[in-house]
Parts: sequence; structure tokens; C-alpha cells
Amino acid sequence: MPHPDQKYIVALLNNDKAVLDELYRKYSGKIKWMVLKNNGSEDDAADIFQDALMSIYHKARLNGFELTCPFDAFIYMVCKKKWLNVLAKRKNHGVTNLEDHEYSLGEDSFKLAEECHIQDERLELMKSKFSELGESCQELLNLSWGDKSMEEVAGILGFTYGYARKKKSECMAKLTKLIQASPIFKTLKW
Amino acid sequence: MDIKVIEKFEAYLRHEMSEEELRQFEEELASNTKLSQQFQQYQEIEQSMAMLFSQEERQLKESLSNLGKKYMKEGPLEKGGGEEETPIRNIENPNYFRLFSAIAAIFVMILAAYFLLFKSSQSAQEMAERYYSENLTVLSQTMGGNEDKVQLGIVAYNMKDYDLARTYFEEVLQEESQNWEALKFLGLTYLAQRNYERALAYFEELAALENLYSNPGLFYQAFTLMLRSESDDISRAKEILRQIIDENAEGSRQAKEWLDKL
Repeated sequence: MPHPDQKYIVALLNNDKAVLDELYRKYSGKIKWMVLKNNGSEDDAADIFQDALMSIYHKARLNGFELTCPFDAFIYMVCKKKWLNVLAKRKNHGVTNLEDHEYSLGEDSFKLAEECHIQDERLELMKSKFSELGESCQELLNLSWGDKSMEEVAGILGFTYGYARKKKSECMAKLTKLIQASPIFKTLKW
Repeated sequence: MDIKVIEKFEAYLRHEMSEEELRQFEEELASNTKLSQQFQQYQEIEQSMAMLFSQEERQLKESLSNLGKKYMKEGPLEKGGGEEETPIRNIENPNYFRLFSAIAAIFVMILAAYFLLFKSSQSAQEMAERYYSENLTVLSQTMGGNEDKVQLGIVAYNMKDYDLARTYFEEVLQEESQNWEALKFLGLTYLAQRNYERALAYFEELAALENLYSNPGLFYQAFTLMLRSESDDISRAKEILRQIIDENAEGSRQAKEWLDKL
């Protein structure tokens, strides 16, 4: 049985501006407080909150997502983990106000946040390996992942349909090889 | 992944297989675990990248960015309970700056005098506190065996949810009483909660484990004693640090550095 706050997940999937406005109004202040109290700026807070919502959206789009805990505890956990990662990268140890007592942080919010984190890491790995491909592969794959059919992609690039398909398979083979060869691939529980 | 395999995946996903090819492929997918895993990974890469490049992704980002400007730049600052607070501002007034400089200078002088008078009794604790804040506030994920619970415990620790972290590590120990990672992390979790007695007990248990290629138990015992710095803690810590150096045990370099300063 999904939590009533599932409506925020649905709003992300549908880009429902009215409900998203409500989401920001209700929850962004707490995240802003957490970030500002821990060596961050308003821009950092905005980035972290947006990033967290995009992570949740990605998880919902790719695997479906049933929220089984209150949204505030869950979004707080996702943002907190992201902010701790930012601080660790900046080598800033001045964390003083990451207090959780006002949230009911059940195991569900914890697990869902961790799943989002793993999903993020996978997407980051894919993006970074995609950028290592040659320009022609990037262009072909980019077009093939858009709204266009493979026939249209072949037409745009001046290829025959057969050649475009073969080329795409070659590019995908390179991409999957790069992803699987990465040292963090095995830690992502794929 | 082999190109031929990828061509098959593509043909399948684009519904370009004949009935016979389709039947054969689906049978192979059902019986060949490796192929089925590769197919799942391939689909995930395709779907993920398509999502990242999609128009919906761009539109949602734009909506969130606009809301971010509206609420994060202009909106209220709200603590957990709901009460509003004044946002933290940079100190730009020169009078404030002078006042704070004077206070800082006095503070530094007091601190210097304090160190001159009490250096010998405080330095071990100071060194240990520094080591703790530089190395143990965030733990790295491990590649150990009892993967899920240890990893979950580490994540909880890193989020400073120490009670939850302890439950994960304790569960691992219930299943495997001599799991060295769980003993180490449980000790560190108690240490984070400043429960030195329990931390020492787990580090002693860890140090007693044999057949470990590298055992950090002694090092953490000495470290805990330095952090606590009560009665004969420092002399006990020194003894253990010497033992670590003599045995070239884990942490011997840090042990030598500390021992030279104690």
C-alpha cells in the first residue's frame, strides 16, 4: 500500500507544476536549513534539492517507485547523503547540524534513499563512459535514444539503415565494455 | 558484450526477428542466466540514456529549477520543527569584523597559554580527536562478505544514525560472531557515541582474532584509550603503541608518529 505522499512521485513523473510547487513549499525549507547550517549556500541547497528530486524521478521512471514512508523523511535522507558527499569532496569536516530527531527515519526511508543513491551512481557511470566514446558514436547513440526511428537516424547521418544499425551495435558494445571495465561497476549491484 | 549478442538484442527490441528467431532467442534467455543478465544490463543502459537525453527530463529540470529560484533564493528558512529562522548571512560590517578579530586574538592567546600549561596531558587526546575527525567521521564502503548488512551499517554510520548502524553490525555478529568487519565497525560506532568501554571491548575481541592478514584491533584499542585519556589510559596506550610497532601490526606508522609525540 503506497503512502499518501506517493502523489509527489506521480507529480515528478508527470511534471505536475501545481503539486511540485506544493512539494517545494512544504519541504525545501528544511533542506535549505540543513545545508546553510552546514557550510553550504542557497545555491548549494537548491542544487541538492533539485538533484535529489531528479534522482527520485529517475528511479521512478526506470524501476517504478512505491513510497512506503513519509516523503519528508525520505527526501531528507536523500539530500543528507548527497550533501555529505559534497562535503567529503570539498574535504570540509565542519558538519554540525545534521540532526534527524524531528524525522521518523524508519528503515524504509533509509533503504529507499540507499536505492536512489545506487541508481545515481549507475547513471553517473553511464554518463561518464558515454563521454569517453568518439564523437560519431555519441552523435549516433544520442539520436537513436531520442524520439526518432532508426530509419530517420540513418537518414540524418546519411547512412543506410543496415549500416546505421550495425554502427549502433558497435557503439553500444564499446559503451557496455567501458562501463563493465570500470572498477566501481561491481560495487553497483548490477 | 559481444557485437553479435548486441545485434540480437537490438533485433529483439525493435521487433525485427522472425517467429523462429524470436522463439529461439526467448528460449535462450530463459535458460542462459549470463545472457539474461547481459540483456537486463543492456536494456537498463538503453533506457537510462534515453531517459537522460529525453525532452521530459529537460522539462522537469526546468520546472524544478524555477521552483528552486522561487523557494530556495526567496523562501523561508525552516528548521525541522517548522519554526522559521533568520538565514545565516556573511559578516560584511567592518565593525563586526574588528570585534571578531579581537575576540579571535584573545581566544588564540588563551589557547596558547592553555597548551603551554597542559600540553603533556592534552596532546594525546588532541591527536586522537584530530585523527578521528580526519579519518573516521565517514567510513568507506567495504567489499566484505556479509555485504548488505555491513554496507547498510556503514551508510547509517555515515549518516550519523549510530543506533541504526549498531543494529546492522550486531545482526551480522549474531550470524557470524567472529566477523572482523562487524567487530571493527561496531567498536567504531560505540566510539562515535563516546561509549569507550563498549568500544574497547569490541576492539579487544577484534585484536584476539587470529588468521587475519592485517588486524587493526590493537591500533583501535590504543586510539580509544588516547581519546578517553583518563587515569592510566595514556600509559596503557603507549604500551599498546609500542607493541604495534614491534609487531609491525596494522597502524604501525601512525603508532610511531604518536609515540614520538607522547
